[in-house]
Amino acid sequence: MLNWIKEKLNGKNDEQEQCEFDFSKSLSTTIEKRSAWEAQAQEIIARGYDMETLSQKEYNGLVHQIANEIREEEKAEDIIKKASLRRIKTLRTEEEIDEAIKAGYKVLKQKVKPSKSIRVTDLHIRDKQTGKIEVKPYSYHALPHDYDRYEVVEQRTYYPYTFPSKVAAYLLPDDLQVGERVILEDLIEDIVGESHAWGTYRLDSVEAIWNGKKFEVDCKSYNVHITMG
Amino acid sequence: MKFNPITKTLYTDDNRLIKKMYCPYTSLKWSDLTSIKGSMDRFCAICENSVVETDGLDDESLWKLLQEKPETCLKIDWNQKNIRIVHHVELD
Repeated sequence: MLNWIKEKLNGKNDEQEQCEFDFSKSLSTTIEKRSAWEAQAQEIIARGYDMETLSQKEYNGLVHQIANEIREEEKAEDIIKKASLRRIKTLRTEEEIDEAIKAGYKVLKQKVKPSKSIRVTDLHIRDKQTGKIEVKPYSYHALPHDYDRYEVVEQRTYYPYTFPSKVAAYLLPDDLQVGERVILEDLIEDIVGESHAWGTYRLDSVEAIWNGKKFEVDCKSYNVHITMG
Repeated sequence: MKFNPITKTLYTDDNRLIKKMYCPYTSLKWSDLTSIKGSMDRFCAICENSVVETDGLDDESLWKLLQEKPETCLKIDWNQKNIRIVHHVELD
C-alpha cells in the first residue's frame, strides 16, 4: 500500500538513477584481474622455463613482465571491441523524430525527465570594494581569504543542463540484436554519474545493452570524473 | 585551469578557451589507453594518437600546445590539483 501511494505521488520509478563510479568495486576488479594475469604468467613460466635454474628474483621479474604483457594484449583487444561497438544516435527534437519515422527508421521515444538528484550549487560572491560579482561552485574554498572584503549575496541550486525538447528518441538500427552492446552517444535518461559537494552531474554517454525493449545502461563502462577529448 | 563539466570545456585561469573536449569513443577510459615509456601521456590505439595528461601542466604550455595543434587530445581528472571546476565562465 505504501509503495502504491509513493508511486502515485512520485510516479512509478523503475529507471536507474545512480551510476556513480564505485571505487572499491573498481579496486577489487583490478586486484582480481591482476591475480588472473599473474596466474596465467605463472602457467606460461612453468611450461616454458626450467624452474630449477630460476632464482626467486628472476622468477618474480618474469611473472611481472609476462603479466604486464598479458594486460597490454587484453587492453588492445578491449579497445578494438570498443571501437567496433555501434554508436546509437539520439534525436533531440520532435522534428528530427518525425522525419526519422517518416523516412522509415525505427525509433525509441523517451521522455526527457530532469532528475531531482542532479543539481549544482553556485555561490554569487560580491567584492564589496569593486561591486563585482563572481559566480563560483559551492565549496569551502570558494570564498577568498580576505573574508571582510567579500560577501555571499546569493546561493543558487539548480538543474544545470538544457535540452531542446521534452521528448527525445534513440535511432534504432534495423538489425539491432537483443543482447547487443552499443554506445549511447547522447544518453536520454538522467543518471547521476558523479557527485561532489558543489554538484551532481549526469552521465552523458555510456555503453548499454539492448534487451529488445530498451537499453540497459552499463554503469561500469564510463568514468565521469575523467574527461578525454 | 578551469573546467566546466556541464559543457566539457577547458579554460585558462584568465578565461581563455583552451578546448571544448570531445571524444567520439565516449566510453573509452584512461585505463584503456597504452602507457608510453618515459611519458605521463598515453597512446590511443583507435585514433593512433597520444592523449596528453594535463596534470602538472601549466595554463600557458597547454594554451600554446592547443593553439599550435588544436586537434590535440587531452585528459583531465576533475580532482587534479591544477583544475578548478566552474559552471560559468565569462569569456573576454
